[in-house]
Amino acid sequence: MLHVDQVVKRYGSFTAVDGVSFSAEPGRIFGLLGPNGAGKTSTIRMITYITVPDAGSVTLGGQSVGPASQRRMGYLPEERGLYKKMKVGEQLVYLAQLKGMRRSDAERTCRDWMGRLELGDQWNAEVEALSKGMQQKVQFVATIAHAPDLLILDEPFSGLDPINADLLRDIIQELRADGRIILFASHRLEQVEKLCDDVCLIAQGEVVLSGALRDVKRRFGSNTLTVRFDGPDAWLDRLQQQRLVTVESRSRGAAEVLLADATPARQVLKAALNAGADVSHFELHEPPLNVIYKLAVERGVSSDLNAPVSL
Amino acid sequence: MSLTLIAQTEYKRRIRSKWFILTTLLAPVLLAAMFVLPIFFFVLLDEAETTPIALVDETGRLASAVEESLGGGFEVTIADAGLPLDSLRADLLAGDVAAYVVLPVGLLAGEADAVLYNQGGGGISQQGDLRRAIRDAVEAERLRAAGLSEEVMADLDRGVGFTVRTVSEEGESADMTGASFMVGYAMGSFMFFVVYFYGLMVLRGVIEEKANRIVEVMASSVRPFDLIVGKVLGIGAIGLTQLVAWAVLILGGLFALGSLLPLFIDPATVAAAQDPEAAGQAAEALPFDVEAFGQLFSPVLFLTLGVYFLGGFVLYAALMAAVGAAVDQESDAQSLMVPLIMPLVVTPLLVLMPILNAPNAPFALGMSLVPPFAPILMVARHVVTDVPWWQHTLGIALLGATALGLLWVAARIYRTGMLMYGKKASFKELWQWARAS
Repeated sequence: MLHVDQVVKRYGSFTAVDGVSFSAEPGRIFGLLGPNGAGKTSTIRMITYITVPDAGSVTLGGQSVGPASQRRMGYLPEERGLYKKMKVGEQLVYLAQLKGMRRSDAERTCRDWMGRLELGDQWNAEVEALSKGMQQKVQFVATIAHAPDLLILDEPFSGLDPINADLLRDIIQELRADGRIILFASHRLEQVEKLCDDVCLIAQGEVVLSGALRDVKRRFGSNTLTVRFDGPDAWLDRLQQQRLVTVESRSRGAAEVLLADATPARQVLKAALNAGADVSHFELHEPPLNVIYKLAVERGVSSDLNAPVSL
Repeated sequence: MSLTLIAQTEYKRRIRSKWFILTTLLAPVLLAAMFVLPIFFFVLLDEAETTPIALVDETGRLASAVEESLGGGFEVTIADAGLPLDSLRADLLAGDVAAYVVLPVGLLAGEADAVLYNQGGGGISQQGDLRRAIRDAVEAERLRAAGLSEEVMADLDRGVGFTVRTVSEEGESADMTGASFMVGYAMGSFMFFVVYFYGLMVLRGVIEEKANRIVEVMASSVRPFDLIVGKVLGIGAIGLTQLVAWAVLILGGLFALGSLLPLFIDPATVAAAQDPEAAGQAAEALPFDVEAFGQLFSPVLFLTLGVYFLGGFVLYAALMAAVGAAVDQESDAQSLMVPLIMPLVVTPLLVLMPILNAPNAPFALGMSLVPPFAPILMVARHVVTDVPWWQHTLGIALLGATALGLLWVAARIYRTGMLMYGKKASFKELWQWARAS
């Protein structure tokens, strides 16, 4: 269990993190979200014991984080952190040894993971000779080789093609099934939505949303409508002008709209049919995470994390 | 544990690099080229060429004596005293002779000068040889005119030897003033290069890790203190490895040279090659000999070099690490290095000459005890004088304490600076980082 309790981090007069609390459990993937400069990296640095909080505490498995806990965590930073002129294998073994592994164990495990990530023949290649995607996979091996209890993955899918992204997602899900604590930071909310069990949204150094993904979405109610249709779409503009709906996204023959408080869904359907549109799909559901994210960050939501939110 | 692993890895990943192998092998070759090539050129030129000159002797009594005194280096044509000087001038301009000399009638009485005509150049040694030959001939002629017997003249001709011996506790040895001055200057400058160069390597390493963001991965595994100290130790070990390699190559080279050189080089020529002024007085005492070089490049010198290198390197590496932590890229480092580091490395180079001239003066002692100057100045003094052991002890103690203190401060600056991106830190901020708990 990872507990972040009321941590504060100041840099001079600027407060980067202001009383952030959350808990991440083993066997679950915890999504840490927030706009750039919200305090995510500062929070991660306190968890990884790169920096120390000015107030509050961070504990892993009941113990304050420190040099001992560092060995039980693996951190994949957003940007590649590898020695460019070093050979892949040598570098992986070095990084694993710094986490306290014996040399022989480190070499065996790293070779296994390299094979699993289809990098088997790159052991003696220099890092700078690898493609961006391969470097990303090497970095991932460096993060998990020492079998850490806590994994911190900051944009782990960046630079990966869909096939490699799937490969990585499979491994992350295996690690979750294996009971690891996984902290997942990303701006790609559709990935967060697919992968995460819990989420925590930080904005301007404070937690604005937190909880199980399902509960968070439930707070926002089932008032998002997805419509697919053939034919004219001017009716959408009319609905928006009358402030009956807010169009979140639209493309040719498809739209995602938020219903205003008093707008029944059938009114939208009626408008579409009256306008002569041929509706093939009509679904009322919870808002997607990107809608919740924007709403929470731009407008702010109730400080009571359990209170329902109207859109 | 992490510290040694980091130091080992820094060492391993750098020692295999091309530049290390290249500089290790090339530096002794360059050094040898600097010392040996001029000697060989001098010898080759000296043996290959004789200088054709024309001699106009208006006194009618000097020509043969001058020619004899000049020896094999010159091909002397004794011109008819009645010959118009214009034709000699034409020969000179045509390149048939390198110079012509006119010995006027008044020369013997000291009323007129002998005049050497050339097209410029020709070298100091050529002029010196001529001057000496003419002086000898004139003096002999004057003595003969005064009625001195041939016996007395032979007595006067006998050489007056003058040898310099250096006396120390260990006994006496050949004088090495000339050689030691040169070697002292070279060693002082050499220390400047290695200390500065290896310090720069730390700066580059710190900036590379920052730019690659690997520092974030490292900092999530080990303490920043281990990271920076491990790096400094690893790079320092590479420096020592290189010094040892150089010592072996140079000592081995000198040994080979020492046994080969005397076989085909006359010590007088060697001396002449080192000091053009001495060439004019080749018969006089040598300022130093080849063996003196061998004695100066002793194992003790390399040991001294190693100790002061280590202290100086750690001191400058600490400063460089602090600078590296404060910037994002190498070009930004300049503005911090110029006020912080340049005065420390340039000052000893500026005072190196006066200190080599008076290596035991209070000024020399004082300057060489200042920790950032000690690596350059103590080593230079060590070459030219017998530095008492207490001065070495004090110098090394001060240097070591300062270096370790600075390393500690640098580690604290590094701890904060390594995670700072985007803006260059000021000295004030560096100070705050160092003081932060």
